[in-house]
Amino acid sequence: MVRQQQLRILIPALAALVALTSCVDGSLDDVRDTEIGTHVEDWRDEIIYQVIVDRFANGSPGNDFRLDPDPNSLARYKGGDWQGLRDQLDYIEALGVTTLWISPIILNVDTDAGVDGYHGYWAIDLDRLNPHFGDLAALRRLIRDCHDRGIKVVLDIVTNHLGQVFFYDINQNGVPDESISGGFPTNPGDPMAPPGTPITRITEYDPDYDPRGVQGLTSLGESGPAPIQFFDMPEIFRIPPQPALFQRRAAYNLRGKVTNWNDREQVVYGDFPGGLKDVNTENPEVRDEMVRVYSDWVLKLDLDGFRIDTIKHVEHEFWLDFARRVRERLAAAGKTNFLMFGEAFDGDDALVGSYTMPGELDSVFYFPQKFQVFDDVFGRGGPTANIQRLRDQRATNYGTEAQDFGIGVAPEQALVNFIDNHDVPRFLFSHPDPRSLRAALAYLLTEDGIPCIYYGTEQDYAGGNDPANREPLWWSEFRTDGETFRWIAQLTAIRRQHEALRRGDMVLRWTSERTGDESDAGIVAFDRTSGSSYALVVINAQGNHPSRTSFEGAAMNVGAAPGSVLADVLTGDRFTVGGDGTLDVEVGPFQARILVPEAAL
Amino acid sequence: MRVTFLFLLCAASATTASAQDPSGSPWPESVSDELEAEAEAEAEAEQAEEAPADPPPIDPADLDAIPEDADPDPDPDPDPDPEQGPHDRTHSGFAFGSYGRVVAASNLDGGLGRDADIVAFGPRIDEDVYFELELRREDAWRDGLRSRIVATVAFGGPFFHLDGNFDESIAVRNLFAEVQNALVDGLSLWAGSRMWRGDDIYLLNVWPLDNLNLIGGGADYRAGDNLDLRLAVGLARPDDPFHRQTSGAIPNSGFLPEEVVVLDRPRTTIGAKATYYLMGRTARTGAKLTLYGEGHFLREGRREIEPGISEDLPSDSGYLLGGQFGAYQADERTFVNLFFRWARGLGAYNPLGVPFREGTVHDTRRAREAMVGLSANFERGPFGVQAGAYYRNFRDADPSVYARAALAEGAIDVRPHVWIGERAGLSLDVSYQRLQASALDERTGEVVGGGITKIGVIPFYSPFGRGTYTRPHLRLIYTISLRDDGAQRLYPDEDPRSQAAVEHFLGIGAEWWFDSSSYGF
Repeated sequence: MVRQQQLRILIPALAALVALTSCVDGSLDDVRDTEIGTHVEDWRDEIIYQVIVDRFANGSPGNDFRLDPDPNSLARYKGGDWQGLRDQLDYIEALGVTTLWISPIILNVDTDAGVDGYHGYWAIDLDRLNPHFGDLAALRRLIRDCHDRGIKVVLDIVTNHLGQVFFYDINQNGVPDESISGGFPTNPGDPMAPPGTPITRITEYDPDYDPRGVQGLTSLGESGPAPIQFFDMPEIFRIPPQPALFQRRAAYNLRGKVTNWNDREQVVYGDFPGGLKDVNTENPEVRDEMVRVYSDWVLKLDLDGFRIDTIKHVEHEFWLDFARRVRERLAAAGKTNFLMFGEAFDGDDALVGSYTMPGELDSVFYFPQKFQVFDDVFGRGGPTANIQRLRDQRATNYGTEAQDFGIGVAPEQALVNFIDNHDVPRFLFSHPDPRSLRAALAYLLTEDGIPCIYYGTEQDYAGGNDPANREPLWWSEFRTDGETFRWIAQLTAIRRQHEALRRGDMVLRWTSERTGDESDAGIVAFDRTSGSSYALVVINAQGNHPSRTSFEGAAMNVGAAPGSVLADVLTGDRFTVGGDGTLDVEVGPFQARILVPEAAL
Repeated sequence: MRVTFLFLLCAASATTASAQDPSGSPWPESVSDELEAEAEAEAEAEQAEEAPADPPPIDPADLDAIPEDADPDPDPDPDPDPEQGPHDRTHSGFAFGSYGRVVAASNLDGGLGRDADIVAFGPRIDEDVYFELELRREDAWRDGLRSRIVATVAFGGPFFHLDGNFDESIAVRNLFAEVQNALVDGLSLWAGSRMWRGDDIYLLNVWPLDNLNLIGGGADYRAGDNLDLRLAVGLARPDDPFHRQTSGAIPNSGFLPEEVVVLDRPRTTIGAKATYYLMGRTARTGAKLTLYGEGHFLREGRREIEPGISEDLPSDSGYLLGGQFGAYQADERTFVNLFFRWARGLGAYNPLGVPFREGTVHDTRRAREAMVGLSANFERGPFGVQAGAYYRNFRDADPSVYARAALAEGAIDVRPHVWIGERAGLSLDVSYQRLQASALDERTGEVVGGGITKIGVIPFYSPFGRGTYTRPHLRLIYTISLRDDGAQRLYPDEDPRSQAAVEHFLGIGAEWWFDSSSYGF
């Protein structure tokens, strides 16, 4: 009897065990697979919103590891994560932005010299995620939810350097050293003797550039190329880097830190200050790995684009190779229209534009405009003619043909415009008048190209240089009733509503050299046309007095037909184009008008 | 000569204790087979010859083993003293018990053989070394009261002969006093530090229900022939930042900093168990039903994150509910046990356990665990087969330990054996274990998880003859572990196991148990 009883129990029990083995608490069914697709029709329709994940929202307190609770210590991890972003998609949607640019996701050196790798630019393992922000499932859920809402996701990547993964063992003693020497008086007994010998500082973490490569040094003199020593500090993720290729000398240029930013060789081959080790991107194996690693992330996550860090520190040949092979690989997997735009932190328009030449990137972060237009014109009241002068260079300095298998739009039409970002002081730090910020935002969101808004701009954040410009957004309590937030939301809605403001050709109709009391001081006016869609934008970039689109009897010519009635979508005011095709519009200080054909309202 | 005596004492005790050993065999403790009885008698005879002045050993693991009319007087004259009162002792003595396993193994690649498991409870075939030594003082009184004082010391490897370090890891696993038939017949009371364990799944080295380590006290009550009740209350305060934290402080005078206890919150655990023997506690063929529960409580606290900055920790609690059904035929050493366990909060961790990364976890509300298990043994003539299996679904309190934040795991192990003669045998151990986490592998995008198949061969020699649970066993062990890709990916790249689809384990070792108080309730 007992034996039968055993069997009756045993058989169902075993069957249940087998069935249960595949069940896990916390289903992954929704993110187990990623369906790769193209989510963008025309990148000019997009409005990018740049977020530093660690600073946006903390949605998962469980990964709040090694945080510094001091609100002033902005160089430390603060707790933001991908779940937090996911929780705040309503906020992002309310702002009207359509693409999220998220800070790097991969595993970083956790902390170095009291500063944390919260920003993501200190890579240590290109194939692993930074656990401070969540896991692969959380990231997939974020991206899936974004796509469900029509929001695209651009990932910040770095190919130029890794984190401080090794030190140059210059004295070959096996440990990282720093020494300061010099300063000895030339004649200790003579107060009138000339100053002491020069003070020199040698740090094995971050030695100065040497075109031969960093050299070993003993008391007897140089000893040849300095060995490198990887760190072994797994508790802070400071370990020999991965993939394993990056544990070889050949993966690095090993020339030390850039000391002369005007020396192109140093810029390309030197370590980025802070001990960030410059990768030898001329090495074919390194190129292969960069293509593999970052293409893999796109395919694992269904990303829509890359923002690529420090592109001017990498040779053009790399971009020609990288961009082509990434596009090919993604296209083979069904992903097209993948945006790759780079960051060349430089005001040199020709240099920045050079990375958009045929075969290279789809776009770049438009730094020359940031300096010459947003800072000089909107911030400091400089002549709006600067805008004209900069635009005049565009066709020369930027690619005029869409990249093969790229986004289908010529780089010159798809520049990523921005007012500020995480590497520069916020606009309101340098130019504290919120009206000027809102005027700049009007220009940003109506000009051609792809606008990009740095998180916190909508909350009037005014932090200075890094890391002060990386404030946690939760300080704002995610309010959506502030004036700047509502202004951006209004502008993004207008941009979405009028095709001309997204895809239209842009013609500057009025700029001025005048910056004083003149009638047209601060005026920048342009119209944009896309098929039958038309918009005329007039902005007064100075805050002292109303200005108008005329000067000494000469009025602005516009592209709208004579006699057509244009309505200001911001105020409802109507204007009629003169029979001679001119229009004289007055705009208040730091105000903007966006005029569209009355019928388009 | 004394050493010889101890060995014989152990051997004699082992025979009667084999039903109370870590095997968790479910038949009542009073049942022993003829072979064991013979061995006991033989050992007792030898012991008497070696040490006639000492009292005969008793089975200390079960005070019932002390005969009601036990005579404490070693004097051959059995006549009772008419002057003795109810508080006079009828028995008094010391006893010794032990559990242990020792193995020396190679991986056939120049390294030590090692545990290849990926699940929490893997097959007992490539285990680490471990042993317990137990010493008890036992007394019985004429009025039926009996008492014992138990001290068990456990040693974890590696041992001196392996690593050359003269510093074994030692833990006190029992240190308690117990009185039986206190107040009323059948009621036992105990207090002290105690390892409290019920039936196990021997092949997988897991106690699905009661497996507590407490400092406290408790009571057992045997009601009639069918019902056993147990209750225990105790404290534990593991030395981790979830329970205890210290900080340095400037002294009121002098120079050196003083240690200040910032967080000190012991966990209170209450365990209760009821076992009903369907056919009576002493039935040789029977069945039993067990219900088990635990409650865990932790008061609020405050801990320091960094100097000058503290955070509050809320009060915490948890529970465990479980059940067991067992059926057995003691004469044929055949049984099957089925287990179920459900736990929330602190109950999902043993009293010495904490959330995986306690630094970020404020409470354990997120934690939960469900588990079902099976343990069985069947013997007929020279053949026998053991089986063990479990499935466990666990969600950790810490959601950020992604690969372990939630996982399902299980193992099934079948070990048939055949006896070659009366004292030698050959076992074949076949097992499969699988783990699947609620996380995606960052490199492959696939679900984190994998499986291992193990096939082992164990020729063994059993001086006490046949029986799955007779010990000691001297044995050779060969096991091949086959990892699938997922199992390899569970290890860091730097770990050679991440690159090894096959792992060997060839060892020689021994396992024994006798007279241990820690097992078999």
